[in-house]
Amino acid sequence: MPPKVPRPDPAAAFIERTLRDWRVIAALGAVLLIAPVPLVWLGWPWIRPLLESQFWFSLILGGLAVFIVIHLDAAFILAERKLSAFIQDRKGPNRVGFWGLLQPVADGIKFLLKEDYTPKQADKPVFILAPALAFVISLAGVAIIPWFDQITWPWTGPDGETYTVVGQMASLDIGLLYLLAFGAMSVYGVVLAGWASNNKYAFYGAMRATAQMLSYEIPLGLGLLAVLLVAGSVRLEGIVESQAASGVWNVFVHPLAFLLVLIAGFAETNRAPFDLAECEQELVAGYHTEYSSMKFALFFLAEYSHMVIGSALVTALFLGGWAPLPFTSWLADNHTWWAGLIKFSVFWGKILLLIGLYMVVRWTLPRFRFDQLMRLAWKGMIPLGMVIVVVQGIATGLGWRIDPAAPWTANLLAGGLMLGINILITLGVLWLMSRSRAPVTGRQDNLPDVIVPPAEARLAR
Amino acid sequence: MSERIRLALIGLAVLVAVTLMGLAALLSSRPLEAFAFSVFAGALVTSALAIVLTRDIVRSAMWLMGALSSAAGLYFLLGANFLGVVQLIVYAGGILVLIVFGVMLTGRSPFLRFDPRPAETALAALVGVLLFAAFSAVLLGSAWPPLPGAVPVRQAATVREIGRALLTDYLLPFEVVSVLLLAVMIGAAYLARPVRR
Amino acid sequence: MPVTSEPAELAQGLLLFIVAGILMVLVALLAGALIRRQLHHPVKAEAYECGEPAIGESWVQFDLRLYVVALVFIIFDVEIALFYPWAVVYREAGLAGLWDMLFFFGVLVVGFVYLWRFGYLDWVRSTAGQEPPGGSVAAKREAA
Repeated sequence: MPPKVPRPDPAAAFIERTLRDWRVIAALGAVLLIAPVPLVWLGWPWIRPLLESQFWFSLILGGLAVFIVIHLDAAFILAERKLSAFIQDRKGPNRVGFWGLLQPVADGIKFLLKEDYTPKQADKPVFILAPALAFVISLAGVAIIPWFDQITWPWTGPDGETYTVVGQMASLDIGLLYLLAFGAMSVYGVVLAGWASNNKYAFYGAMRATAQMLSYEIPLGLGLLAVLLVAGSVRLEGIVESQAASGVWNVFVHPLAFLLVLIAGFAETNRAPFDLAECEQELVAGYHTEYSSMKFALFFLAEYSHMVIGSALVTALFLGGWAPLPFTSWLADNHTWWAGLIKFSVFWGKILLLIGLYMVVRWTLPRFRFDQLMRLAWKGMIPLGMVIVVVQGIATGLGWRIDPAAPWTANLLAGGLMLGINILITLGVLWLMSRSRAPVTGRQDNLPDVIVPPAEARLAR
Repeated sequence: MSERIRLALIGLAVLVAVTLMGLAALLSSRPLEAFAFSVFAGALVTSALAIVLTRDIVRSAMWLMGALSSAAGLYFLLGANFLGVVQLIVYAGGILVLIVFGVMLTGRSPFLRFDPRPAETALAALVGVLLFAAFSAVLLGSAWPPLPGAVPVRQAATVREIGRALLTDYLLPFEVVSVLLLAVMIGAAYLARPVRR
Repeated sequence: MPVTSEPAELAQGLLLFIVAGILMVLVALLAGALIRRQLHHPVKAEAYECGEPAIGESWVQFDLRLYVVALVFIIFDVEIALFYPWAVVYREAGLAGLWDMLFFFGVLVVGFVYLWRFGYLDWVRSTAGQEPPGGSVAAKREAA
């Protein structure tokens, strides 16, 4: 006799059926999208002065950016699971809501309701402080990202004056260093979490993560320096504007610096193939082994926020920021509100593309071993970064750079030269790599030697 | 001194700092700036006290992070953006990690809990008082000339000025720093040399 | 021309940001604490080390190599912080600036080459930094 299956509760079954209906999801989405419209319409007399003043507009913009980042983080969890399912030929989450679309909501509720335990051997205040620190520091970069250049509002004041606002919270002459500073500070969330847990796995994970983040901070800084040398502007929005004006995005002429910053960005976020801090097979969950509930969620949000801010940085520095199309200066001098909206969306679109890249890379490449990771940083990326900075310095000194005011033939020549230098460096690196036949590091010397026969002998057999 | 008294002292410092903060912000002609200053200054004083009064070394290092970051906040408030960021990058992001590593790497040695002898405390207090006296003397002794007119700090690009100074007046120190860094690098390598068996 | 930030603006913005961040974290941590049920059990408060009872504390001495990484990191960190103002004025300074930088860089490269040459950049030093007892693997391969 087969075991008796309990009949499902009809109410629960009804709720489940309703939630899985695509019409319910569509209606919910429509309500969420339309709800702000009447609110803005009703509150327009109060909202208008806020939009006119740069101070309040910055605050609104910052709040909006943080709001988008946090909600995207939740959506990314679903996106990542769906993408990994696609890559591994599975279905991914499809139980909660139509096509699993309500999964982020379910995750959020779960994080709220899970028991929150502090292990008894832990250092309690530090244990609580660590995730908070990780989360807050991961959002600090939002302030200096130039989301769009500026907007001139279509209405005029009582004396016919126009109002122009800038799409950036703080314009700093130290923008890039500010990002580096908060990148360096983000080590603390991890190292304090691992230390406070008083768990051996967590401690190992934290130590690895710290060494890794420190090592990859240097190539990141060198890559940023290379951009700074050619950009000729100190401010992040200036770098974006020069790319938008000439239409030549930095990635086309400096692909190596782009790769350097991108890979260092991967490493800074502690994601695969650089996820040695939390590799399941060795360290349970690494530095957040002991964390549960909302504290764990804060680490999770911090990781995804790091991805967003890192992608925003790469977008602004190399992918033309808000510039919609390469090789034209379309919309660069258009400051109407709809152009601003397009630029804002284009910026976020580029961020989403980069995050898609992050996810595909995570689910494609296997994890590094720790000595390989350190070798890549210290013997690969740092020397490469130094070479790029020196070469870039010499090239800039010789006047090979993109200038929006120069004729396009001169720009083509300069860009071609830069690209050629990059290709030469790449070829040099490949040549060096093909020459070095270093023995595999990490072998114990009491193991028998591996005798590798020459290639000809293997082919002959 | 027991742990409880130390905690009470820290709490008192916080209370004093918060009160001062409110008063300063109320009395000032530029309340926002005064408020920001008093928050950063209060945080700085509180964390500095906590560094000294906490016996657990890692917590002490954590408070040190608070102190260094608040100092960076004060630099930002003064318009010295570059200095503030370098403070964050080099001190809060670099030196402090080194300290934390150093502490953690000593493991379960007597260093993890830091219990100084009375003589050590007295010596430290003496050095502290001397330093305070020296700083106060400099502070009170300097003439603070009124700035000639309104200086347009707003347009000041501090990084540009510093870069120009590094390449002109301070070129020699700039290059000497590289030699110093070289010495540090080789010294670090010497410390870490593999132990010959 | 975008507005340049007022000096105090950054500090105030950071302050605002810190306050907002603390509030967000507090709300996140407290909201759950108000509605969730806690079922206490002594086993839940144990360290999770794959089901084995934890032996001793994990605050143990760790590898010295990490300390070296941090030390060398600080040197490069200082270097990048010093290069930043140089890069900003580089266009104006012209080739003189280039020579200054090349000297600075050259001295550091000497240190870097020293570290590389004597194996301090190798994570696994037992075989990579010095010759293993029976000669290097590469040498054996040559012989074979």
